[in-house]
Amino acid sequence: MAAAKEKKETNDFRQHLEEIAAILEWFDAQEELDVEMALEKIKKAAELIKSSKKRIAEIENEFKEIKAEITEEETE
Amino acid sequence: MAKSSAASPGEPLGFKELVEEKIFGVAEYVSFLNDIFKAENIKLTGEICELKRAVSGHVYFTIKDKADGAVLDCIIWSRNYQLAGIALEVGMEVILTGHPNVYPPSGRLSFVADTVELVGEGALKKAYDELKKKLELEGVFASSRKRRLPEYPQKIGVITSMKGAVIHDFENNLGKFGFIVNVLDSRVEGAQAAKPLLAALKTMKRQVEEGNIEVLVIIRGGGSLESLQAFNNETLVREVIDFPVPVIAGIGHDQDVPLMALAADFMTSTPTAAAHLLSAPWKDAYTKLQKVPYLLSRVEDGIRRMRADLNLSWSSMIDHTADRVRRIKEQLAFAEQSVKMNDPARQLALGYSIVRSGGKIVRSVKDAAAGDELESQLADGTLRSRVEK
Repeated sequence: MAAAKEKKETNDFRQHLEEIAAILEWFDAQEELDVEMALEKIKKAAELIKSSKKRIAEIENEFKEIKAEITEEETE
Repeated sequence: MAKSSAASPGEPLGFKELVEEKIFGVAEYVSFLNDIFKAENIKLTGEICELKRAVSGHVYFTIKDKADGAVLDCIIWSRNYQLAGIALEVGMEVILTGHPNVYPPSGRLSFVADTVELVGEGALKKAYDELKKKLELEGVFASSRKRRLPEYPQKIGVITSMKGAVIHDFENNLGKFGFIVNVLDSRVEGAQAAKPLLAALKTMKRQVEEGNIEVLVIIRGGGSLESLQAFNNETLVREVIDFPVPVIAGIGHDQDVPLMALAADFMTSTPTAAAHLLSAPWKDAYTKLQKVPYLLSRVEDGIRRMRADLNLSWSSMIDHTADRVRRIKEQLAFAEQSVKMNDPARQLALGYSIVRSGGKIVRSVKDAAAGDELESQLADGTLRSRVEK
């Protein structure tokens, strides 16, 4: 159950990063910016960036914990 | 035995005085004589000229001197006859060991033979070959019948003569591996050794039952067919194959391997080799034990290498993950910045407006004509206006 949840989060995170990259590419490709669409994209990107930043912070904390645990075992 | 000196007054009578003074009854005298006869064993040789086997198994025969034809009646009791392992026949030249005996009901003197052995290497060789053939046919020497030694034998029973160097050679070559050696002294020379060897085997059997022996070793130095007669004795050979634990025979010999050695579970040519056979597994174990520190150091090295590999893998994993997290964070920061830069609302807040005519964005003065209604989108709302020119 926990493993399935973790896998879904990993997949979502990867997907979010891909979506953010796609939005940035979309902006780069526009010669005539469709403002409404741009706003939609911006909203979507802001949402994805927010959730991704949260997830990467979680990952970073988890990683630090594991690293500290291993270092502790080595010292013992 | 006889005492020649005269007894002083008041002292008990000596043998001579007793014999001279005493008046014996016939039975008493026969018994007296038999006691004297029995005191010493005598060896007697001659050729069998008459022979009769009784239903009881006892054998009655007469031997005579080749030279002067003197004859003597002889008896060998069933048990001793079987132990001798020789089928007596008229014409055989034999050596008997035993003593004379007067049979009281008849007063007849006979020689009671405890052991009988054949005279001459030729006769011995013939008997040896015949018995060997018989036992071979029975499968007594078959390798399938042989038993294995215990992996690490410790309680050793030894039957040998304590006289001579054999027992010392054996013990000196056994090595100090904590053996518990139970030695039983026995005569090993000639046909007369059969009886004491049989008694020793029976004693050792009891030792096995009491858990004191795991392997039996029978050893003696080399000898001729004549001196090794007991080791070619059928009864003893059968005792060896029926012995409850493995038997090692270390019996030196000239040409013909003693039948007991062929029947034993292990045969060595010398007592020293028998000792080596027993100590070999302990020596091997000792050699292996000496290698243990080296093997342990190899295992230790392996563990050390594995730990180093793990540490390296772990460091590499840590570095890669940390790098990846850092890059994702940078990408997210860059994306955030780009999104901000591309946000039209930010441009409107700076004072820019988006002008539309007929719903389309006006990017050029050519996009609107005089009289057109324009819609200007500002940060906080929309203004409507008309183009004058």
